[in-house]
Formats: sequence, C-alpha cells, structure tokens
Amino acid sequence: MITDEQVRWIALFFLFSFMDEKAALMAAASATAQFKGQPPTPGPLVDESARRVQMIRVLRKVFESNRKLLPRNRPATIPGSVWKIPEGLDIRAWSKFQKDSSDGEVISVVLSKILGFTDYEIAEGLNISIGTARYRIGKGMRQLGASVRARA
Amino acid sequence: MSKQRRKLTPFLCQEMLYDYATDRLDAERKSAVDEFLKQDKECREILEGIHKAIAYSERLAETEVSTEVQTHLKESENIVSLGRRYSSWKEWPDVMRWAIVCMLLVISIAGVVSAVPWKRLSALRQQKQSDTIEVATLQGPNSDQVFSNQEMSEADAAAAAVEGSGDEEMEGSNDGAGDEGAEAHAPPPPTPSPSPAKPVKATPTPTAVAAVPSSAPAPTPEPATKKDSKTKGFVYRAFMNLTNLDEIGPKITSDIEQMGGEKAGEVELGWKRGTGRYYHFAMPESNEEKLLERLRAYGPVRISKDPHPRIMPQGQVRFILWVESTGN
Repeated sequence: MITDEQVRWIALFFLFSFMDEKAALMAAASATAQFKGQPPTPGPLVDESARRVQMIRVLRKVFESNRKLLPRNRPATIPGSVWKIPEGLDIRAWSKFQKDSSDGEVISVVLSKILGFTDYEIAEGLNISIGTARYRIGKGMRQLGASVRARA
Repeated sequence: MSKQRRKLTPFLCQEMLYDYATDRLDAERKSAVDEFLKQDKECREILEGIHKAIAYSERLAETEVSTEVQTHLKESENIVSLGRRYSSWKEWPDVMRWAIVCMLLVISIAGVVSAVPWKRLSALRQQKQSDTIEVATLQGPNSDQVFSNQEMSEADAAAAAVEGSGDEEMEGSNDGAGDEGAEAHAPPPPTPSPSPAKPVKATPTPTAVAAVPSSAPAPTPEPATKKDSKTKGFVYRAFMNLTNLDEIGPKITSDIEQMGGEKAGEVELGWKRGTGRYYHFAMPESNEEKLLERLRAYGPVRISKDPHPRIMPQGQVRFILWVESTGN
C-alpha cells in the first residue's frame, strides 16, 4: 500500500529535482510503482522511519536512472496545472539553485528541507555518512540562500 | 597552563554557518562563530542567505501537487507491484475470486461425474432387478396350490445342489444358458460318477412356458419370441415335490414310456440321486399335454421352457424332470 502523503513526497521530489514536468511525472510513476512493489523490510528502525528510508532508496535509484536523460541547462517547464506553488514565491530562485548545484546537494536539500526527512534517514537512504549528508545539505542551503538573495 | 584557542578561518566559519543557523553547534563553537561574524561581512551575508533559504524552503514545502497527478501516480503499477498486489488472495477482485471458486467447484463435480462408472452401476442395478422377475405362475390340479416364482427359485436352487457331469444334457444345458449364473434354475443334474455333490450357485431367472429368455450371457432377461424358440431350441424343465416318491416314481417312468418318451441322457429314467429322481427324456410333442396331466395327478408341477442350443427334430420335445421326495 502507498499513502497519499507518500505519493506527494515522490511527486515533489522529482518535480523539484528535475524541474521538468514530463521527466518528473515519468520518474515519479516509476518510483511509485517500485515503492508499491517493495514490502517493508525489518530493521533496527521503527516501521515508519524504515519505510521512509526505503522510499529514499527508491527515489535515488529512479533519480539516477532518469537524471542522465535530462540536459543540464534547460528551462524549467512545470505548468501550474501540475503543482501549486505557494502564492508570492519565486520559483526561479529554486531553478537557479537546481541548475548550479550538484545532484547530491539538490536531492539532499529536497529531502531534508522540502520533504522533511531526518539527516539519519537521508544518510541511510543515500548510502552515505551522516556527516556527508549534513555537509551536502549545508552547502546546498548556502547556494540556495545565494540564489534567493540574488532574486530578492 | 592556558590552552590557546584556534582562530576561525573564513572557510571554516562558512562551513559551520548552516549548523550555526540551525543551532547545532556546541557553545564554544557557537561563540567562536559569533565573534567571527562580527568581523566578517561575507559570512554575515551568507548566514543571512541561509536564513532566507530556510524560510524559502519551508514555503516550498507547502507546494501542493494536483489531485489528478496524485491519482495518476497512485495507480501506477509495474510487474513487481502487480505481483505483490495479487500475491495475496484477499487483494484479488471479488469477481475473480468467485469465478475461481466456481471454476474449481465445476472441475471437482466434473471429476467426480467422470470418475463414477455409471454404466457399471446401471448394469448392476438392472441385474438386481432381474434377480426376481415373476414371469408366470403355474397352477396344479388342486386350485390352492399356486407356486410363485420365488418358491420355484428356492426349489430350483435346492435341486441345483446336486451337480452332475455324466449326463450330457446337463452339460449342454449349462452351456446353453451361459455362465452368468442365470442358468442355475435348471433342475438338479444327476451324475453317475461317485464324486460328491457340490453346490451350484443358483440365480433364479424363471421362464414361463410361453416365454423363452434370450440365451445371450447378458444378465438382463429378455422376453423371447416364438421365432427365437424355434431357431435356438429349447428344453422343458419340470419340478415336483412328492411325499410318496418310492411308490409314484416307477409310475412316472411308466407314464413317460407310455407316452412315447425315451431317455435322452446317459442315465435311466427315474435315476435316483439323494432324495430325488431324475428323468431326462425326449417324447413326441403331441403327447406333451397328456403327460403333464398325468403328472399333475400326482402332485403340483412347476415347469419352465428354457432356451437350449440343441434343436430337437420336428415334433419332438425334450424334458428334464426332477422329482424331490418330501416324505420321511
């Protein structure tokens, strides 16, 4: 089973990571199907946290297989019918950050700051150390801050 | 000794700014960053940007995905998810589950129906029914002496307890009636051999004088037609119970001879066997009724006309008469 919240996470992850409607929805559909096909695995984490780590692993896998298909410098093409950005928010700051930053930093920021995963879950899901996860998030936030300040 | 504090570089301070902004630094590091921020404008701008980025990302987190997209994504399936979905019986659609249950039920019923030997069962049932078919009853001179088929069957079975092999008629009779057990209603077959008598399985299929059953070995009796009796031959089998057999026995022999009867087997007329006497003879057909009248004068006669492979000459009939003594 998959919850509405989990579907939303998957959709937002690929929309913000790819900033391309077609590629994002295709990857999200693939990730949703894969996540539905995975039974919860037993582990030291509590069920909910373990399931979130499972989701991050699926997201990373689908991201890596789809990212290479996307050209780096392309304009953001996400119409308003797909998502609803909070009113008054300038999405161009995010677009600039998404183009200028590395994939690891972008997905770390998305997972941590937009989807709300913990550093430990991100580290487990991306198969990196928790220090690396924090470093990527910090660096990403500095770059995002620079983009936001530049747009202000 | 006093420990000298290491001075922060701009690089180290910038690396720690995110943790500073999210309050993850210990007190010592935090005070060091505080002091450095007072001196470094660039770091202050970066910190400001981080705060803005945190606020920006918190707002981005409020982004909603359209319902259509969510519905589309939720219905996304691949082979693995489909396999997992349908691996549990409870997850199957009701229609499919009921269809499978019905199909299994139908297959089970078809298997049972095909496994049961219906032909054999119907044959057994017909055989059971044919065991006691009342074809006719014969009435002797005394009107109160009416023999049912059942009585005839019992008497025949008793008579059949005497098995003989010397009389060719008995052998022929057995052959003609087949091996299915339906022929055992024949009168007792006497044998000149000293071998002890063996009981013969007796399954009564009485036949009236006017009806000749089929000689086929099938267990179901078929009413024979006149044509059958003419083409296949027949033999009269008669049975009597008499109290004073020692006295009447020679008279019967005499009567048979007077009516032109001659012994047909190897033994003489009135051959003694156990408590009964055996008469196997051929005689002119014209005297058949007269002989029966004389026999009825001694006591009730049960008679049946049975098919037989041996065909007698025109105008001749063959009798096998068994007279059982009921007296002490």
